[in-house]
Amino acid sequence: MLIDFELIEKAKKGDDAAFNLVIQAYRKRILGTISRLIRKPEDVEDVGQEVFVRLYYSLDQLRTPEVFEPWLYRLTVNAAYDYLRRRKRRPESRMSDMSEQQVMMADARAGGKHSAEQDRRTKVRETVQMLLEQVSEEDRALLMLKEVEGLSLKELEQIYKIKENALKVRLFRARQRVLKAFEALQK
Amino acid sequence: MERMQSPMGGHGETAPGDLADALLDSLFKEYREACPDPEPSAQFTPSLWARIETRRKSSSWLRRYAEICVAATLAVALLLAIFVIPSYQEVAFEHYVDVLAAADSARDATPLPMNFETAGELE
Repeated sequence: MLIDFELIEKAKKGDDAAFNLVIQAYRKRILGTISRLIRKPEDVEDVGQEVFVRLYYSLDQLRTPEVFEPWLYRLTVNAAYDYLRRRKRRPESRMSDMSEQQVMMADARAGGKHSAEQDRRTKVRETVQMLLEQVSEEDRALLMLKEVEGLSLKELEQIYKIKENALKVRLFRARQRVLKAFEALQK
Repeated sequence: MERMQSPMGGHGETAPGDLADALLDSLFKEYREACPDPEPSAQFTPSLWARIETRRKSSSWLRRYAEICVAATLAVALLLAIFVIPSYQEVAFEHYVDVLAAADSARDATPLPMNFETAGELE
């Protein structure tokens, strides 16, 4: 937990200053999770704000401060899903829709130079994103939360409200699919 | 990070499979490092509060609108209960009684038809 339970209780009772501290504590982490889930840098802050607005109006429904983080992650995943659904309905062509390579070429043309480290990171990003394309949107988010964000099964159980065994099966299947694609890539 | 094992409890993975598993784990770890949490812009928190405020205003406007609608509905219902329904009932009952009375008196006043020619046969 990045904050103490007392602060959550205060925010829950309508203390805006306490809620502001909650925002300060979690905004970076939430923006990070969103950026990895939606992969559109220019929309990350918009979705992040939506998460905190939803948090503000639903905080009074939080049973105990102990479940605050899974609650916040649940709101984050839902807001990211909503965004992805909206994006699917309204496909637009923007700078962010270009492949990373195209963006890098555009950057290079604009005078930017990228190092070997940047190249390697870009390759890692592209590989993982390509591997995650092998599973459904829901499973992608689930795998991302487990493998990349490092959430525990217990936390995922609270976020998804699914029994641990069902969650394990779903994660296992999704991971196996990704693993198969990864093995094929290595050959 | 917890490593995923088969939910069936089996360890049927071969050694190359285990290697690929481990490589995938490290790839995910690298991905996490390659996609660091973005720094929020200076406008993030102020515009977030502006959004909260906008939603609060629109929800309070909606609540007020709903309250006005409920109050108006109650007033109309009350007016109906006080003025319209009793007078309607009065009119309705009056008509019903009148109709009954009229029907009764009409029946009493109408002589029963009698056939004098067949009256003797009945005796």
